[in-house]
Amino acid sequence: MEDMIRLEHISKDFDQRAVLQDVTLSIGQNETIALIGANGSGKSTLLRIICGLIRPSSGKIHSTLDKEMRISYVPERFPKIRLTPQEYLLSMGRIQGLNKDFLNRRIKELMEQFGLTEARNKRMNLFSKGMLQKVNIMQAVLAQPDLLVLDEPLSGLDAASQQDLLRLLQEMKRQNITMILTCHESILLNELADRVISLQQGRVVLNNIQGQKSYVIIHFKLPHDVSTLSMEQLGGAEKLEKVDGTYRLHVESEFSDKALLTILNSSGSVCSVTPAEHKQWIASDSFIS
Amino acid sequence: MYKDLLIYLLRNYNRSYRFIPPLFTYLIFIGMFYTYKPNPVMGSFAVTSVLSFIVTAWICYSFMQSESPVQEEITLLHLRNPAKYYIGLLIAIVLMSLILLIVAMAYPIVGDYFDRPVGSEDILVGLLSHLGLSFLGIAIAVFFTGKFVSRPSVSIGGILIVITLSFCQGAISSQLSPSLEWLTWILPPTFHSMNLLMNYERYSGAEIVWLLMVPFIYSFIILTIYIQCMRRK
Repeated sequence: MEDMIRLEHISKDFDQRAVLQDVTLSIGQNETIALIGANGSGKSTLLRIICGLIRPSSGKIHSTLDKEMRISYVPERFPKIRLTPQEYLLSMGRIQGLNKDFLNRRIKELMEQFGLTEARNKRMNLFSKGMLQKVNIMQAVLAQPDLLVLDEPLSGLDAASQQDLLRLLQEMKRQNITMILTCHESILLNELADRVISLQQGRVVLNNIQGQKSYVIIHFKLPHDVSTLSMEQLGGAEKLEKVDGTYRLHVESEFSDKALLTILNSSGSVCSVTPAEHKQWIASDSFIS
Repeated sequence: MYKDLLIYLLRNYNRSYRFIPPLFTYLIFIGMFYTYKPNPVMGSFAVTSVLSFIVTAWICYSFMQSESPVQEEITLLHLRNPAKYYIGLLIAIVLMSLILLIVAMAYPIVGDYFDRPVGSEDILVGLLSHLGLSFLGIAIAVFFTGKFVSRPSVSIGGILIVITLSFCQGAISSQLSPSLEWLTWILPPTFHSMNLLMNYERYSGAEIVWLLMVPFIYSFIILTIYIQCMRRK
């Protein structure tokens, strides 16, 4: 996958306090990356460096983005502006060079999608946090961006709006829009991200890529006097559950034959074997700085 | 080209109501200044030009604070051109200062507060001096906004010190040895503009044109440096 942006040994200091330290990472074309980490771990600073809003104190940035490419940014804290959403979104669209008729249609569509139609002509300084967050997201998706950068996009949104946003982002992902986002919610990690980067005290501590793994769930019975230890110690065994006197063993598909043999050799009887797939994060050393 | 950006910036500023204190201060001062009549034309323009200088610096400072830093980042990304954003910001402030110019020129002429009929030369000199000093006000205020000075008390104090020093340019110049006199040229040339209007008859045509142009040249240099600094930030 071709890199859209590559950061090499990036550090950033604010008032002699190191916020980012020796961060190396790349963002591939059409990739969706989730940045995770505790508050103050440097996620937002990293996003602002990627957007080009601040310069790193040291390190190199290689970018294939040119001046004409669109970077849309959803900041974590959207300000309480005294404009109405209609005025604000129209202004943000117009300064991007978007056509007025297209914008009016797009704003109407987004207002309906996020349930803000009734509030479209009310001033935003009276809005709740959730309503502001919706406008924040709308300004970023007025036009199709080349890179979409979202800082805690689900913050302040109710469950229904979170689902709406997830659908919108999945649609953008299908349109091959490159995305990088910070989040605390597993919903975005599991449903959207191709890769997860974990930051701790300004350093990349983990860089995972998402992969599918095939499992089988073996439902079986064992005589009372037989121990389950041999099943638990099997290679590829993920978990063993006891349900109403029977057992369910979750085991990687490639180890299923061995698992079945072990159960039968232990005088057990197999009730059913069900295939299953799980998404799993796999550590990738190549990106860890 | 800048229309949509200017509409947004001016609308955002006007909705913040930050224009009210400087604008009303200006209007009240103009109203009080012309309470008595008749007044000398150029002498009055000297006073109102200096007031435009101070009030435009105030408007510039409040204008630059009206858009939150987060929103400024969003606007910059949508615009994809930092220079365009900062030029737009400066144009919007100049447009706001035109209100001051119109009031300062129209009020005494319409109200017949001068000691003689106002000719086309008076109007031209009045327009250029008000506009020039407004530009100077912008030029000094931009380097005291949040991007350069984080504490408002330091910003406001800094603006006031530069304004005061620029008025004292003549006195400072006379105190310095000739080899150091050039140092006063770093200060905004407010004193020279004020002096021109106060002693208009003593200057030749070429001197008048030069002294009317100096504030524009000074502001252009300072504002170009400002835009270059902001592009690199």
